[in-house]
Amino acid sequence: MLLEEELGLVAQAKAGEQAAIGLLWDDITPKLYGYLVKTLKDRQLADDVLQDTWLKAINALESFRPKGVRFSAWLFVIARNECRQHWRKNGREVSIDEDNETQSAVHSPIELTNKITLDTVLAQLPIDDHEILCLRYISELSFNEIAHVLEISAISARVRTHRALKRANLILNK
Amino acid sequence: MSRQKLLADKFKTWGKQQVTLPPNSEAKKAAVLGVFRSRTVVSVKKPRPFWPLLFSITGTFIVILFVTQFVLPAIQPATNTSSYPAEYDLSNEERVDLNNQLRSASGLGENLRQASLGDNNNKLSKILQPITNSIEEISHSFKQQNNSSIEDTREFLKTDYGINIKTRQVERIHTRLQTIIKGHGGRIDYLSVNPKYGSISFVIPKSSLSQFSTEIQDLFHPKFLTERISAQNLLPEKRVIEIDTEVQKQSLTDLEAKRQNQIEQHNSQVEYIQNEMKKYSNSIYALKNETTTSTERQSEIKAQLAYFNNKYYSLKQLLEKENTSFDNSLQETETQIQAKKHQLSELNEQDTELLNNVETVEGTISLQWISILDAINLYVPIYWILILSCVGVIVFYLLWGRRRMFDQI
Repeated sequence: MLLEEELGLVAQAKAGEQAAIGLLWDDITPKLYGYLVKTLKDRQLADDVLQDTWLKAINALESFRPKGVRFSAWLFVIARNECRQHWRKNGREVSIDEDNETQSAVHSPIELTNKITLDTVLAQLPIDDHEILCLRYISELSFNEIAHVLEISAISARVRTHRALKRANLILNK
Repeated sequence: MSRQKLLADKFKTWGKQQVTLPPNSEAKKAAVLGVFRSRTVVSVKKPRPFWPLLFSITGTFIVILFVTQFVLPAIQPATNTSSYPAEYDLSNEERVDLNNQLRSASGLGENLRQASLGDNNNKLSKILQPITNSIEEISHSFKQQNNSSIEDTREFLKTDYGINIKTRQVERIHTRLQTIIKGHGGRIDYLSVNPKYGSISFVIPKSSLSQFSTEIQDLFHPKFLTERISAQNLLPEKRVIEIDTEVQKQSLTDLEAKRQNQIEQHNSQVEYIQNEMKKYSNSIYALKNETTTSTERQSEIKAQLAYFNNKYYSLKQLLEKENTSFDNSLQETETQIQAKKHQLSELNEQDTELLNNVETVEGTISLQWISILDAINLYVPIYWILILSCVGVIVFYLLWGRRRMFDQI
């Protein structure tokens, strides 16, 4: 969804249009959920955090000011804060049930192989690299938006993505 | 590099595979929308009270307008039409009086009186006093004549400029106006400023007045300006100076003629006395050289010598007296001539001053701080403000308030 379309829907939502929220949900939730599953490595927890994220976003909708950043990026900031809050309370517990559903969605053996390989590589990467690659390739955020989510500069976001890919490449070639 | 790009492409594919809706997505979506709806409903249940806002806005408008338009003007004295404090403002009559006083203070009679009184030479002042008085009388009579004369159509217009400016930035504008005055080759004579009022008295060349006025008018909207330009013909003053100069020149010519006459009279008198003395001297010499044995003749010669000597000394005393008298009268005449020349010089200076005065413009600028309500009042009369405010509030309510209520249900 284009920035203008997304901002138009947000404006409608601010005016009380329920349908606008529905459209935003349909567009953002798959990416957000994918990001949460990969970040939290727990589908149940990702479900809860997803819902909490949306509820917080709706309650704080009036305070949203675009400033060149998409609504989806703002949602990812909330989601990331929710994750951090969860980790502060419960620590980083890794669950192993993340891939059950996803595997059924993969059709070809090549894609499956590719997925397993990249999951293995991601598991060996540092947390920061893991997060930035998820934001870049699952959430499809621009470097500006990644910078906004991670509270760094756009150049840093670009450099860190490049380095994460380099490290992933090294692991892949071992 | 190509490997890394390949890996990035793989990650893109991988990322797309990760994008998925959560289980029971529609249920979760419905739950979120339910919360969104309930949040809206809750806000409808507690709508922002609008009527108090409507009443408070209208009431505030009315109270402010009533206080600013009716109560405050009533507190100020009815006779004081100027809104400036006394120390910052002069009425037109006061300005005219002040200008007249200044001009009369620099007038001919005053100058002569000051010259005669201020001079250390009492003798000169005594001599000048009757002349001064006579000149003042002549000046006065000519002034009276000139006031009603229409034959002389010359114009020596002295221009006075005044402007009242209402602004919300008194101090900043005050500084800017000083710069403008100096930019037009003007001279500032008086300055005063505070956050509410400001005043500048200045003098600028007459040739710059038009540009100066245009520049100031360009700075402000016409509603915030009150400009006045007045001009007075200084022809009476000019005529007085011209006539006084003529009188003084005539007096000077008369005195110089008198001096010449005195010299000539003195010379002829001296020549006559000297001739007489020479005659007696020759007779005395002849009698002294005469040789005779006649006792009768000798006694006669003796008597004649006594007579001639007596005459000779009388003439000598007369010559001395004539010289002394001439010296005194000549000195007196010279003093009078010097006084006349001095007066003519002063008249010439006054004439130059008058012409310079005509070529300059004396101006005053008064700055007054203006409130927003006063500024609005300049554009829209009070009744229109009231009506427009009420209409505005009602339209605001109909377009925004009512729609908001319907939207929220």
